[in-house]
Amino acid sequence: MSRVINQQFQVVILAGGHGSKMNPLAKDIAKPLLRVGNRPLISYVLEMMQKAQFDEVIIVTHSQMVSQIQSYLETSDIKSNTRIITVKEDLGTADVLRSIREQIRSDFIVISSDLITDAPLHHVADIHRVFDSTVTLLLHQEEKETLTQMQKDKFYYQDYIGLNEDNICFFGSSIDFEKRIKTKPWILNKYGEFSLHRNLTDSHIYIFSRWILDLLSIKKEISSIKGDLIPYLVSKQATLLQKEKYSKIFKRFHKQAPVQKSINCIAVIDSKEPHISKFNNYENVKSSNIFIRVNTVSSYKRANFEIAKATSELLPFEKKVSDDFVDATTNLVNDPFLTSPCIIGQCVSIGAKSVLMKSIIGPHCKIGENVKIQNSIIMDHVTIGNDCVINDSVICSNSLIQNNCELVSCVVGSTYSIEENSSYKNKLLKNMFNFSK
Amino acid sequence: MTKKERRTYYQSKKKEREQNEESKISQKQKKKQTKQKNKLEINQNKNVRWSSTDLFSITSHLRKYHSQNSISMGISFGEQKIHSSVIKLGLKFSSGIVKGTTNRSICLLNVFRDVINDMKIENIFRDEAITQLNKQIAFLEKYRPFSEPMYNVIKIVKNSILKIDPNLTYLEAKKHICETVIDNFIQSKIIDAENEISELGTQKIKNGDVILTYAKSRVIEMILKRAHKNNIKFRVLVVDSRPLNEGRELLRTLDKKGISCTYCYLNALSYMMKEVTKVYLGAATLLSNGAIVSRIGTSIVAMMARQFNIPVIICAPTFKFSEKKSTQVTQISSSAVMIQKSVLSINSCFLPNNNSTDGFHYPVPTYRDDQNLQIFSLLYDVTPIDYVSIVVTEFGLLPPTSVPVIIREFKKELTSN
Repeated sequence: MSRVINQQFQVVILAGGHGSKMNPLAKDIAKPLLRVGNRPLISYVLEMMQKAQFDEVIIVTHSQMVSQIQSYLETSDIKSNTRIITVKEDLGTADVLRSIREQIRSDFIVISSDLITDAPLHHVADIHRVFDSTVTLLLHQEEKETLTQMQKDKFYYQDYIGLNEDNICFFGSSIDFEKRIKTKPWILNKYGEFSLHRNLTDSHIYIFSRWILDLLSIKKEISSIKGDLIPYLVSKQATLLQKEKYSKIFKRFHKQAPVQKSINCIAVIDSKEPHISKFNNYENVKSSNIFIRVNTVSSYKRANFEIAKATSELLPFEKKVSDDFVDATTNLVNDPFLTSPCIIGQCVSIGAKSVLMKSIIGPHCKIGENVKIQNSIIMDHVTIGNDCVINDSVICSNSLIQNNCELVSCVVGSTYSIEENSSYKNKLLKNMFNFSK
Repeated sequence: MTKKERRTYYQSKKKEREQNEESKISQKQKKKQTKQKNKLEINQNKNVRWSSTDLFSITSHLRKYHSQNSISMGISFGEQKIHSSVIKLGLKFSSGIVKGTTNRSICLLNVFRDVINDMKIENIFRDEAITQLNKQIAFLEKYRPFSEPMYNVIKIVKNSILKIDPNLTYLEAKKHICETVIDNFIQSKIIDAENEISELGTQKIKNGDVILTYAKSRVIEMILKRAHKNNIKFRVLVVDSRPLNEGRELLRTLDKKGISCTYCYLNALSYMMKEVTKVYLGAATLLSNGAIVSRIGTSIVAMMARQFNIPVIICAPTFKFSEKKSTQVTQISSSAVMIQKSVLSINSCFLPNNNSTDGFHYPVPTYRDDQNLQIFSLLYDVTPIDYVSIVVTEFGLLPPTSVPVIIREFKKELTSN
């Protein structure tokens, strides 16, 4: 029987981030393997890929993280073929695409590994197919409460996106602009009008057409996808194909389409309000229930609590026991008082009279007696002594908190030990030297 | 009676009273339930009376389509059997982005080229190529019914595959089909034919003419642009109809070139026809008894022109000629019916593109609420031979009675190739 060598979309997962904005959390552990809701961060993206039935997934990291990611993949039960490619350190996202050029044979989807979402990827892919677009983005409209929360973060920046129906007219972020935003007159010539949005966040899910890789090999100054490539494509939409060197590459990959004079850059908006899409069939398209990009400490916390609430199909690995996620190996013999939703990992021992309120506790922790943990995230192998009060904090793995401590809104780095009878508020506690790695 | 006896007596009476009330309540509830059941039945019967897909039997024989996405088509990211460009094309067809018989035929041929190039063949090229093509064609046809020229095109490609020299290698065979058959067909029968038609068509346009055209046809657009280039002074009346509003696109391109145009809807035709000197129409298919299958509304235009004794000139390349007769075609011609789920807005103040270009916001009920309302948009109609004055093809200007002659010639070419 004959087959057709069919190349649908390929997926490239960018897993090379250092987690510089979430300082002590990703120091000793590779950021893609950082536990959110007791699951490695990259497992959410991989689950999404598996549900969408991708048969080939490419993960791109650098040499320091490769061995850790590989060992994780071997132990997990992910069925799709995942390939790991190592690239040099300190490359921008577009440089990464340039270096994996030979591996990609068709239109491809770029996702960053720190995204936790159940957005409808097939909808974005359909729109990419129908309009033969060069780049298709997914934009998420945050609700007002989450927006106000996000704005308190010191690393927060706004995206300014100009849209005319679905076409992107303008793309920039507040980092690049101080006082004024400059747009070009051809936009008004072509579209007549466009609306500028400040409330849409870029999901960093991009679907690119294959000819972008050839474009990148000509334009070697483009280093980052979000910072350079997409603003370049958006601003040169109408004029790019007038230059011969670009129109030649374009025609090689777009033989079928009738003569196109401009490239299409299209944005798909994912929001809870019904919105109008040029592609008028939104029956099978639901908005995403969870959408968080984990790159700062506050978004890390938010992600953990969202997963614990179980609003989407992305659930912790532990089994659900009446509103909490408790692993089978822990025994709640001492009958701690739990306020849901909590997530408790493997082999956790909790002392008597302890109270856990809306917290996430990693595997192999030892929690003493009379401990009150509230709105906190405790990673694995942490020992907490008796009579402690931990509120709104993140405690990284292998830490030791001795008796009678009080921690409020702190971040404790890994393998850090806190002495008895100490109390800290709004502090970042970490070791100065790296003992592990 | 003693106190105890009195107490027990009154208690038992109380119980009786309560029991009576309960039984009354339960009776009431039962009555309610039966009423609800009856209502349900009536409702169900209502739905049975109007079948789930067809409100009227007139439309039950028509092949319908509506816009799809990859989930409704059953395509996941790991799809192996259907080629990616076929999926793209299916989405484009069903959403209406690619319209027009010629455009669809060219896209179909391009897709065939991709499929044949990417095939991995194990035994005999001929059989495997045809089974593959059949799979892809079956997939495409589900999501939008093909028009007659597309069937012609498919026949040509399949015939050429069957006639391939069995001694050729796979690469050579693929090259032969992609280049000498598909590319050649697109170039000679479509592109060159359209150029030839545009030249011949301009011969009939004279200074001072008022030319009426309906909806949008590739060939007519080329004729009008060429006539303008040749410095003939004429003006154009573009007639249009809902829901596709294709005439607007034609209007835009003509206006950019500087041709003076007027635009009206089909309902104004009887008034505007007085000024018109010639009517130029495109076609989807030309049938063997001289009738024309074209965008719905064309037959009305032709009939009106006939009433005013205005010549009706149909322009179409020969690959659109079909052996079928118009009696067979009533089943086929109106068969492409677009179901518009998007015509009615849903709660928000916007209307989808189709209506918002009018500039008006029509208050309209929501589609999903009203299960007794179905919206059909017919797409094609048949213009009988009496209304057609002349047919322009790449072989020249012909009377409509010569169409079967051309078809015979075409058949000869097919068999000889």
